[in-house]
Order: sequence, then C-alpha cells, then structure tokens
Amino acid sequence: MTKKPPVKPDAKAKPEEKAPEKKVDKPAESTIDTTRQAVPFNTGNIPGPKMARAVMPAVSGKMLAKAKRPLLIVGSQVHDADVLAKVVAIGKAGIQIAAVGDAYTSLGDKGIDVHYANLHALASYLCDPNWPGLDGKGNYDLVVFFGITYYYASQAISALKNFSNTKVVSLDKYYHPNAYMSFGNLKRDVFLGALDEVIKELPKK
Amino acid sequence: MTIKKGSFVIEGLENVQINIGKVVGQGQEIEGPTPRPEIISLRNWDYRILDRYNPVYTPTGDTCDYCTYGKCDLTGNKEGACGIDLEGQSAREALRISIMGAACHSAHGRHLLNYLIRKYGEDYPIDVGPSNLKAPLTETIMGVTPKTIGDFLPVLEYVEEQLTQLTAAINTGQEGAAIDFESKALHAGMLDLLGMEVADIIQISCLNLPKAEENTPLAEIGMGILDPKKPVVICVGHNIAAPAYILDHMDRNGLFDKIEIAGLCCTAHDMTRYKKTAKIIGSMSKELKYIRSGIPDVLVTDEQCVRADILREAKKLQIPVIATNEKITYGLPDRSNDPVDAIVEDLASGKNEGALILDLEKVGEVVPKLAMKIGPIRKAKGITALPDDEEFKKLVSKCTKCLQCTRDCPQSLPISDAMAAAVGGDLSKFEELHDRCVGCGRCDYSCPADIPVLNVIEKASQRVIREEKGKVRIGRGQIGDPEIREEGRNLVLGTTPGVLAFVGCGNYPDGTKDVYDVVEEMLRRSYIIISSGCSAMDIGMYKDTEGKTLYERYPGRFIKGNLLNTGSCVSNAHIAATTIKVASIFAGRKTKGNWEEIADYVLNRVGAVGIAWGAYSQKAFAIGTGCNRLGIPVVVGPHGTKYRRAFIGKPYRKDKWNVLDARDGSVINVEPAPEHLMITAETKNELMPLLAKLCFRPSDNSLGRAIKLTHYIELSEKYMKKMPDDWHIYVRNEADLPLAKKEQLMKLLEEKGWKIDWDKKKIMEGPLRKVDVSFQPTNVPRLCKEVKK
Repeated sequence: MTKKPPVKPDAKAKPEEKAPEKKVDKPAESTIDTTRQAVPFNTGNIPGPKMARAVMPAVSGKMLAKAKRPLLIVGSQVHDADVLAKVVAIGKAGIQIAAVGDAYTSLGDKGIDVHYANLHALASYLCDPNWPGLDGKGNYDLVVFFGITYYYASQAISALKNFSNTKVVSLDKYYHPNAYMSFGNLKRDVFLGALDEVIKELPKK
Repeated sequence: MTIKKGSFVIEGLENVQINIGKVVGQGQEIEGPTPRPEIISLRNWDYRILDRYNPVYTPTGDTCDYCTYGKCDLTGNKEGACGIDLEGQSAREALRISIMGAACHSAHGRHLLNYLIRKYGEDYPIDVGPSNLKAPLTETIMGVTPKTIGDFLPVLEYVEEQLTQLTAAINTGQEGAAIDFESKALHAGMLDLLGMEVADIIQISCLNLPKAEENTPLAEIGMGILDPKKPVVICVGHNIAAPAYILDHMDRNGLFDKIEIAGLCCTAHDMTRYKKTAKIIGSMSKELKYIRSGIPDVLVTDEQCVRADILREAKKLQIPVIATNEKITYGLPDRSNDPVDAIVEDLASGKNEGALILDLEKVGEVVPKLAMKIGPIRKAKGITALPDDEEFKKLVSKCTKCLQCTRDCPQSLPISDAMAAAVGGDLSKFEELHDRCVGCGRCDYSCPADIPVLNVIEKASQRVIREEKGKVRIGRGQIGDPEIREEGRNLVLGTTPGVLAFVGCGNYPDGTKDVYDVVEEMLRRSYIIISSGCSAMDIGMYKDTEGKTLYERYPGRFIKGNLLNTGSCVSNAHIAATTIKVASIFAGRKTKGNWEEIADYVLNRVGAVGIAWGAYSQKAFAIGTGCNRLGIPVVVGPHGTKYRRAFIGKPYRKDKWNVLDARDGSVINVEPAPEHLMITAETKNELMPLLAKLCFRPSDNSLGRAIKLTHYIELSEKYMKKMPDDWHIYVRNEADLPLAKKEQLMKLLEEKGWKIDWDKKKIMEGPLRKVDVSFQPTNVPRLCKEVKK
C-alpha cells in the first residue's frame, strides 16, 4: 500500500477560519472577542464529544465573582511581568491562588493569598469532596486557571472534568477543550486585555 | 545420590537411555509465601498501597472504542455499552500500557536468551560480578537462584504466561473494577522488572559486559564526535546481538581506524559495554536529527525506540537500512540466506533500499563491507537533508508566523520567533531550540509553507552541533554486594539523603540541560545518583567551566555523592534490584518468593526515588509501575500526565498513614513518607524539593531525618523561594531539626502552636509521633511478632 501524502494546512488560510462553529456567549458591549479560534491549541488534543464552551471574558469574570469559594491556579508561565500583574490583581480582589510548578517564586512576595501546590496532586485533591482545601476551609466550587504548561494543564483538568463536580473555567491564552468554559487561542495583547475584563467583574477590595 | 542433568544408560538395559533435563529445586529453598506469583497472588499488597496512594486518572480521551458496541462516550465517568466507566477504562489503559512495556523488555530478553543459548549453551554460567545475590528480582519473584543462563528459561516462560493472562483481562467482558486493573498493572510492572533483569544478566554474563565495575571507562557521546569523512555506521535501538557481530568483525579486520561506528539510544550503551572503543551519538531525540545530517552511511536497526519512518527517511538520503530483528522488518526483503557480496552490491548500487538479515553473523560481515563501499560514494555526492546557506535564507523568510508548527510541537517551541531572528542573521534562538527540540519532525508535516522545519533548526545549529562532545561512564551493570554492605546502613537510617535514579527517555519539557542541572545539584548534596538509558546519556552531554562532564567530576561507586550508570534500558532492573539487595544484605531479609516483605521494607525504609523526567514510552511506564509495586516512588516530567494515571497520596487523610510496629503490632500514625508513589512536576525547580521530600521514610533516624530536612528546606528556599508548607510534619523531636537552623525552626514551630522548652531547647508538645530508634514500620500484619488488637 502506498503511503498517503500528508494533508497540510492551507498556507493561505488563517487558523481562525478553520475553527468550527461553537455555541458562544457574547455580551453585547465587550471590546475583546475571546471566542475566536476555539480549537485545541495542541492540534491533536481532542478529548471527545464534550469540549469547552468558548466565552467572552465578562462571562468568566461574572462566574468568578459569583463563586462561593473560587480558586485560581497559575503555573510556570506567569513569570512575565504583564501576566504576573494580572495574577496579582486577581489575588488582590480576594481570590485565593494555588501557585503550581514554580509560579510561587514570582508570587510569594506580593501580599496575596497564595499557596504552593503540585498540580497533579491538586487535581486529585479537588476531586475529593472531603479535601480541606489549601487553607483548611474546605474544597472549592469553581476553579479558574491560566499560565500553566498547556498540555500539563489540559491533562490535569481532564481529571476534574470527568471525576469531580467542580467547574473549571480556563482564563488561559489557549483554548482548553477539557474546561467547562474557555477562551479561544489568543494573541498576547488580546489575552492581557481579556484578563483585564475578567478583573473588572471582580468585587473591589 | 545426587541427580545431575545429562544422559546415561543403565547397565544391563542396553536399549534404555535416561535423559535428565532440568533438576528442579536442587539447592533451592523457598523463603516467602509467593514464589511465581499469579496475577492475584500479591493483590493484598497492591490493595494496601492503592488504599494509600490512590490512582488519579487524567484521560487523554473520554471515549472507548475497544469493541464494536462503541465508540462509547464515557465523559463524566459515564458507563459504556459494556458496563465499563471512564475510571475502569482509564485503569484498563494503565494495564494495557504496562503490559506493552513489559512485553517489550521481556521479548528483548527472550530474543537474547534464545540467541545466547544457541551460541553458548544452556549451561553457560551467570557471572555478574562480586555478588552472592546475583539475580535479586528473579529470586524475589520466582523463589529460585539461577546459576546458568538456561535457568532463565522457566523465568521467561513464567513472564510470558503471566502477560498472556493479563492481556486476557483487558478484553471486553473481562475485568471491570479499576482497582483490580491497577493491581494487574502493578503485576505487569513487576514482570517488566523481571524481564529486564533476565535480559541484562545474560548479556553481562555471555558477552562479558562490565560486571558491577565501579569506575568503568568513559565513552564519547554527542552529535559532533564522529569524523564524517570516514564511512559511518550507526546502530539504532536496544539489542546488542547484531551490533556485537559488527564490532567483532571490525576488530578482527582492524577496521576501527577506517570506519566510524556509533549507536543511537540504548544499543549505544551496550555497544560501549561490549567494546569500549564504540561511541554514542545520543538518545532517541537525536535519531531523526542525525539521519537528516546525512552523516550515516549505513543504518542498522534492531528493536525498540526505532522511528517508524526510519526507512523512508534513510531512502531520501540513500542510506541503506539493515534490519536485524524479527519485530521490526519494514517490508524489507529477507536476505538472510543470500551471499554477503550480493547483498552488499544490491544495497550499494541502490537496487534495494534495505535488507532484513536475521543471520547476525552475516550482519557482522555485510555492514562494514557495505560501509566501506557506499561511504565514499555518498561522501562524494555530499548527500544531506540540510539546506545550504542560500536555501536556508529563503526558507526562513517563507515563515508566515501562523504558529501551526508550535501547535503541533510536543514542546510548543517558539519556532516562528527563531525564524524571524534568523531572517536578520541571528541564529541563537535556533541554537536554543536544538537542545529543547525532541527531534520528532511533526513540524515538517504541519508547516503550510512547506518549510522543512527540523532541517532548518539543525542547519542553524551547526556550530553547537560541532561542539556537542561529551563523556558518559560506560554502563557498569549491577551494584556489587560489597558496595551494598558499605552503604546500606546509611541509606536505611537516612544519613545518606537518598538514592535518585534518573532513568528513561528524552521527552523533556524544557531540554536536556535540565537533567544535567538537577543531577549536578543533587550530587553536590551527596545524594547517590544512579542513571541508565537515555538519561544517562544526557547527563554526560554538558561540561563545567573547566570542560569536565559530571562523569569526569564524580566517581561511580555506590556511596553518597557518586554518579553511577548501570547501562541500557534493561539495566534499569539493577536499580530496582539494588533496593532488594539493601533489604537482603544489610537487613538480612529473606528474598526467595518473598516480594511483599521486601517491598514493604523498601517502602518504609529505603529512601530511593526514580525520576523519568523525559519518559515517553510504554516501557518507561511499565518500569515506573514495577518500581511502585516494589515500594519505590517515581516522579515523571509534565508529559507524564499523558500516561493518564498516577498514584498520589493524600497527606490530609491521617487515617491513610498508619503503619504497624512489627515488634508488637501496635498501630502508629506516621508522617506521609513517602508522600506519593507516582506523580509529575511541571519544572525542574519544582522537581528538586519534591525529590528531597520523597526520600523521607518512617525509619529515618534523627541524624538522617535532619539531613533530609536540611535538603528539603534548602532546595525549596533556593528553587521555590519559600519554606515548604509541610516541613514541620516531618519533625518528630528537636534532634530531627537541621543543626544550623535549629533555633529559627523551633521559633517557627512555636508559632504553629508547638510547645518549646527554651531552657532545654526541647520540643515538649506538637509532633505527630516521637522518634523510636527501634521502630520497625511495616504495612503487612503477618510480619508483626505479636498483633495487638
């Protein structure tokens, strides 16, 4: 049998044009569209029939603001000063932070409620309703995350998707199919702008 | 009367000949309850460890397509048509992966055993160096002491039978409970260790590979070590049988000055173990890169870690491929029975792109002749896949920054940034990528502008490739008994902070340099570092400011602060077996058929941790799972989450950390040590303190605990910029505290509510338990002298 030549992406087509249609929630007045390019950033990372709903930042922000016990998880990709500033802003709004990987090295001195955790262990604990949480006050009802090595985050949240009742909302620069809600694949400036819009929705402390 | 193996006749009965094949049980005394354990014989032990270290599933897919009922959507742990849920399916996948890995190593052992028995006979004696316990895994699992290579025949028959039973359990309509899939996966992992031990012991014995030698010579390693002007032979894979013939032929005919010969992946280790003049190109990550360079004139494949596209890649560059193993044949014509000269002629002329030759003696003759003939032809043509300078400029300027290559790259490398820099003449970003790139070539297929991305990376990195010349200590085989006698006590009491085994493949999250950095840090801290396989290679790839590799800076004895290389992938067995030796030689534990007791000892007393930072294959998963059943924790890199199952402890569940004191059966609640059995870390900074923590054991004495705490705290402060949150739970009394920080730490304990007597500098209240130097921790009730109710 002869080998079938590989099918290559069309050089002229922009990745945005290949995104399948998805159900999206778009507030009318948003200036940043985070629902485009809602395809797994790693091309082969297609888990199954249930994939994240692409949402606008205000939707994620409102969910985060309304959650009774939310947790933000950030990882080794948040050392960049601009991204770090967003993490700190969310922390200053009273959201507890789990710093996985080596994220703590950039967050420990920022005066926010931040705890080191191993992501793999954290995913396991979040699936346990009896876990006392990072501060002893119980498990969390909403997990949001960004700035973790893409495939690592994707695998960790697949545990939550399938074996927990915890909702996971990705605030990452990349589309995460295993999340409940996610942004599409974003350019850096759009990503930073989206985080600003999420932060706008959080209660001021 | 002693019955011996052989044939004899009885006087007066001329027509009768009696043949005694195998004398079973001669001089063998089973010491434990589970010789030749069946697939559920060790289920109780598995349940004990799984109760504490819960399987955590991170599926890559939420569906099951094993049978024609499906595809079934199992999202949210739903059940499929056959009744299996996603948890069960994920556990079934763990079993499948473990079986694949175990089958791979055991089939390697079977190939070698059949071949070596044909060549040397069943009675060829085992010789692994200064050891009474020559085959620790075989003794512990099978309950027998092998003396000849023929004694391993029933061992492999057992492995093969068990793997068949386990494979049957995967079929739809068989096992359904996740916990029992995991118990079976642990069984497969244990079989994997056994298969590896057989493979390496027989090759050490018959091929005279180093026998527990401390300071074996150093071999050259790197993409820049060969003289490309000479004909170049590259052997790819894991099985030394064929390369040994090539090396012998070259030796007999004085060809080492005329032909360059080196290996890729674990075959390379074993080539250097066999002939110290052989060289190593590197790990599997170098495979496609080195082929694309066009330097090889002949490629010889055996088995394992050989790229599926090697023939297609080689054909493009007119490099003939000689396949030498039944498991990888590529549709090549079987030339095993053809004359050497005819084969050489057909390959050198390009009539055939390769040949399958299963007569290994013939391989030994064909390959050097072919290299001498085709080498000059290929050199004259200057064949390479890499672009020239002009083409390179054109290619990098074609990049549209669509990021498709980054999206398909396993490491999500910022390739388009390097392309943009190269347009302006800056190649430094590509040079960085060369180290981080795993050489898979997926970027080539993904580029919509048809840029051969890997070739571009390699072209841009020629300067660093030319300088890529390291040293690796040749694989030593086992750790000898005298070394265990000397070091065992320090390990069990904790005064040597731990044994860290760096094993496995090159799918690192951020380049090979990370492994070097971690190993260097832990060597400075006096951990014993044992390496094998591709990790052992990558450790030797970098040099300090004085131009010395770690193998040149640190000796290879099994004592603190030393760096050892056991050898190839199958030599991993010796690393696991070292913990059995500690239990047997240092603590006098019986081994034969006594897996549970030995594993219980290792889990509670031997501070050994495996690190497979770049693990990619099913084999690495099987090795890790086998180590887990033996009580050895394993850390894998972030890609390890794609194995889809880990064993993670929950320190907040105090009830899971009860052990028994074997002296009287009393229940003692202990600190979570070791905290996990299989877990990942995201970065090397996170990895280092995690390794230190996983070396804690309930049996540590105060000096040992203080040493381990020192490293845990220091590594966390250095790499995570914080005191570990849980350091205090490993403190049992003031003597456990690192001396240099004692007062500071006591103040911190007081802030946590512990009561301190500052006059006596003593902890009065707070620790989970007190230190008891006679404490004999065990998780197995039958090992207690008197069980308390």
